[in-house]
Amino acid sequence: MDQGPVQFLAKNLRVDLRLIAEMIAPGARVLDIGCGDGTLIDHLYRTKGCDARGIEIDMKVVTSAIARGLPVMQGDADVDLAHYPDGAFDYVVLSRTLQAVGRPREVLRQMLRIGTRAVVSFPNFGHWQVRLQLLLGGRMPMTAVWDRPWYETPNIHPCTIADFFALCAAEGYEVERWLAADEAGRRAPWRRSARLANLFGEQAVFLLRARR
Amino acid sequence: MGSANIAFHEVGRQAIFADPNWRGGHYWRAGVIPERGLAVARMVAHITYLSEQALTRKFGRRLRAAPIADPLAPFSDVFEVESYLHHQGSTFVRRFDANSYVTITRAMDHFDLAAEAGGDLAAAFRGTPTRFCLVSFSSDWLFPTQESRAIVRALNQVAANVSFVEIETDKGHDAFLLDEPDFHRTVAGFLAGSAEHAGLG
Repeated sequence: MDQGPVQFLAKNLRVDLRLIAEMIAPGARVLDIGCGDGTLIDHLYRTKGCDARGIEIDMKVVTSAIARGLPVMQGDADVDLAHYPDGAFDYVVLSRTLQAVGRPREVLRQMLRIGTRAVVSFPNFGHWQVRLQLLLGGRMPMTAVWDRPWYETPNIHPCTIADFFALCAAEGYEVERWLAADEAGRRAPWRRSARLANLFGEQAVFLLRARR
Repeated sequence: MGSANIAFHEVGRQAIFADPNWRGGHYWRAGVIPERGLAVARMVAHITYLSEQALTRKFGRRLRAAPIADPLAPFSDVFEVESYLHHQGSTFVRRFDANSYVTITRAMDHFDLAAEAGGDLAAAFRGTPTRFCLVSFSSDWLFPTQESRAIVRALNQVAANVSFVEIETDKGHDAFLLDEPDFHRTVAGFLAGSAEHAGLG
């Protein structure tokens, strides 16, 4: 039945969550949008003493997160971020959710309004397998990451790493750090080249800051 | 309290006032109680604690036959829901005082946290260190989810620490008294988490 709050260790973290956690300073105020069962906020609280909270759209998942003792509210990133005051958080995290929101650009703007920094992770639609499948098969790609058919995927706004760089430039966001990794979290050997990362990276994590 | 809730309270109070035993609230001097009025007030209120689905599931349109069939009173059979409400009304009279009922419902109607904070609910929460947990029930039309969301929004406006979830149930407002495992899990988890943060875990 109820096991109460569970301690999650870093090795159990989903790869992108581990990469995100590395970008967050100890003791920070963090809002995790699309936090799922709250694994990241639990990890940030326990290992870094962060004041971490979450928003999640799925009621069932929210129930289990609160049942674990985590401060999570049911809400919609497209709607609910607008209610927070400016600068309420040090970091606002959006892990693998950007591609599923209705208005990604507006969500990013809200994140950098209510937070000093934004940490965004997303699956890279520019990966070579995705490109190759569309090129050779002529059908919407289906990979380990993009694993749902086009008619039922929640990922309505896929983008590539190059697309995301372009959006940050257009919106005036400073990319303080970025990295691309495969599903297992390995970063080499295309660590420094955005062009290679866009071809070989299965997922990307960006640390952004609004230009002052 | 929204306008509809105040309205239901007022129907209950008027039922009490209409009882001849009410005597302007001085019934206790005469050693009587306005049982009819208090029972009707409870019957009205009880309906607001249930949902359409819960009522249908429990009673539907089932009838309970009248004890004596009277050809001159063709509709003397009683719906089960009627008999249930009669029971709720009559048991309430035994354990609740009419003046208390009138005063408490009035106090609830007049309570307005936003008004006390100059009309802005968020201002009432500014700077709060408290951890909040709001739980609503999908079929509760007495305190519907949208009203809980309004409180959550106010708490978000001051970046308060708030948990919020709507529990899926067809049991209406009374769900909080009944066996709702998701609700109990939520409350237990929130209390355990809060205790841990307060260093009591």
